[in-house]
Amino acid sequence: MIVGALSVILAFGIPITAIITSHIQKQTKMQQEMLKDQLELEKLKHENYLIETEKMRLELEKIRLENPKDEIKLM
Amino acid sequence: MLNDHAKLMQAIRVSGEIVGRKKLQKMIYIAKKISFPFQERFQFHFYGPYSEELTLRVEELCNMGFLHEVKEKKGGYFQYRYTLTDSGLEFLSDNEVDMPHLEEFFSDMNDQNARFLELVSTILYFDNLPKEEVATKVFTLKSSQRYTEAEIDEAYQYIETLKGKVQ
Repeated sequence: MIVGALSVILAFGIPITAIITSHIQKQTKMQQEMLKDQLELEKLKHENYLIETEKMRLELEKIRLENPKDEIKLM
Repeated sequence: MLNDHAKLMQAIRVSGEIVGRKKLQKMIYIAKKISFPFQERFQFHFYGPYSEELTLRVEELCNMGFLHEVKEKKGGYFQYRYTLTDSGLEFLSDNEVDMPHLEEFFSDMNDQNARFLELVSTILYFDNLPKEEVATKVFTLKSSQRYTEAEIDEAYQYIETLKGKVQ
């Protein structure tokens, strides 16, 4: 009786353990990928912010060069 | 009808005299951003937030004889001083605008120099950004003013002081 039960446990237990382990590994890998994507997104956002700031600086410089008298008017 | 003009006049009255167009622009912008109901629209310009509507309103008040503008030569540029005229004071007494804490708020700002107010108003213009990003904006857009990290910290503290005045 005990030998029978052990055989059943061994027969089904090993594949189930393998399935669970594989699932956990896949999940961890996905989480790592997500984290990588999030970091990339943050990097792009920061680059975009720097480009926007530079664009704004250039636009102000352009206005300044096109309307030199305005600068004095604003004092 | 002249409610927005009256608000501006009230701000000048409680300040006594405002020296410099830039200073006047920054004071109104800061007050608007923190809590006072000024309606002028601002956009980012050479010296930070600037309102063409405010410039026109000041011109109108001068033309109506409510505001006294003195233009004086100062080194390589002209500086403008603004005070209310007697007619302006009379107009205000008939058209009083209720803006609590306005006097202490504007007196404090009037004691600051225009360069510092330019920094404060620039920080407020980018108040949707975190402090580090605001600092980058200041160093990039206002590189000629050579603001330091310490001045930026001081400006943030000053904003908190001003907020405390209206609570």
